[in-house]
Amino acid sequence: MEPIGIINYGYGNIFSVINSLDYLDIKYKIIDKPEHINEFHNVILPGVGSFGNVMRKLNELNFNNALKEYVQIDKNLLLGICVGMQVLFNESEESENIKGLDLLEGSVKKLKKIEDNYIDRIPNIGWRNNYVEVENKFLLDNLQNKKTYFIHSYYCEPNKKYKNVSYILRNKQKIVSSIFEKNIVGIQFHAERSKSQGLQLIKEIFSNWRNHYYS
Amino acid sequence: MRIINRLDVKEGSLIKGIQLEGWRKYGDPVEEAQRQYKSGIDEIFIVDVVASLYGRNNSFELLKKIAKNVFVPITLSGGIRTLEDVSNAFWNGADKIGINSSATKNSNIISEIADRYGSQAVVVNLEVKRINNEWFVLIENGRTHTDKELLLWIEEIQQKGAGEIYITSIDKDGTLNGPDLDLIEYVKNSIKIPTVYGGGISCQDDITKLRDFNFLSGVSISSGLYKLDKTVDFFRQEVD
Repeated sequence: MEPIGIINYGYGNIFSVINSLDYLDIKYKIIDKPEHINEFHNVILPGVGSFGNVMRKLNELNFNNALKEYVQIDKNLLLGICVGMQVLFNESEESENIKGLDLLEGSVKKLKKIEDNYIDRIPNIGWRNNYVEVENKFLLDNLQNKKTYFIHSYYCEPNKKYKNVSYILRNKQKIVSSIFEKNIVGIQFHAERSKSQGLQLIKEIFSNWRNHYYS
Repeated sequence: MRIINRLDVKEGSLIKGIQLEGWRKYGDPVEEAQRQYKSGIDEIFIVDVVASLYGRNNSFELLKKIAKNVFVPITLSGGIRTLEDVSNAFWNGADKIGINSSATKNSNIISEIADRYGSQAVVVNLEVKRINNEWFVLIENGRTHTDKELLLWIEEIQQKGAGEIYITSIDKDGTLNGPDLDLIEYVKNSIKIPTVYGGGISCQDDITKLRDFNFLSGVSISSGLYKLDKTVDFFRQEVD
């Protein structure tokens, strides 16, 4: 597999991503400067922090434009994790005065407050079951009925019908847990912290999703 | 309910006492974390039990070693005082930060961390004790009393943006004689955020008792795992 570039914008928790790639025996480099993105065909945008803080950092370091150009090339694959997924969209209720990367259409909203039951509290923390409605072999194999670790207070709400999406259920509301749109992949959960099935998913995304969406 | 392995560490050794006192050594925390990860633990919570008391923080190296081969969320607690400590913890493999002592001195640290890293990154580690039928928060791993009455303190930390509460009953810690149901009953209407309970857990029945309280999203086990030499399978009923 070609090496993966991990975008470092200052305070993402890139260490757990690095550990998981080490474990999977996948080569990687940390990308500190936007001009280095083009040396890669596999890129991870990790996420810790608020939407606004991540976007401000990406803008300040000029990663925003570099990422937009990067995904113009079909064979370049981008994986955004957690807030790294959320910033792929247009905007967020978390930080209303700042734009997202506009790579996916939709907005990021605050989870509805439901207090009767822990499972519906905010933040949504814990192992949740993913499910897939689309007949897509890649998603069915890698996400259907897989439990992964979630920790978030906001969720992505696409305003365009994306085909390859997985969900979790939160008080009967469908929450998007991942989205696979051509060469752009976003996952709301922390695959790098989701035991062996999470590590396997990271590997599968970079080794097989590309072939899958080309076919 | 997720099962969390609490690792009490002191100068690189895994230790455990009873009611946070009388520590004995139980081997290497890196090996223990690995053993629990392999048997399916859901999360790891590391507490450096002397960091806060001694005003230092040297558990980052240990954290880094643990995080190397453990692919579940890790929280580091003990001696986190500044945003720089928080940043160091993240850079060495923590996913969340546990704070107790520093928050009781200035609760704004909660909002400062939450503003930068999001609420979900801030776990308030509450070590509480019943004194004359009232509950109070203790700090420095149970060594120092504070004037923080538990329910008022819970209200304050939630207001400041804490994402999760990790509550330990000091009276039950290390005793292996069941959860502190009085404590859980006492706090249940005040807590509005996800909560993990720890103290006294030694078998599946103890966890069953916690299931009556649906505000609890996790259970913390330390003595029950490494003092009794068990793995998570012994406690697991179902994954949720």
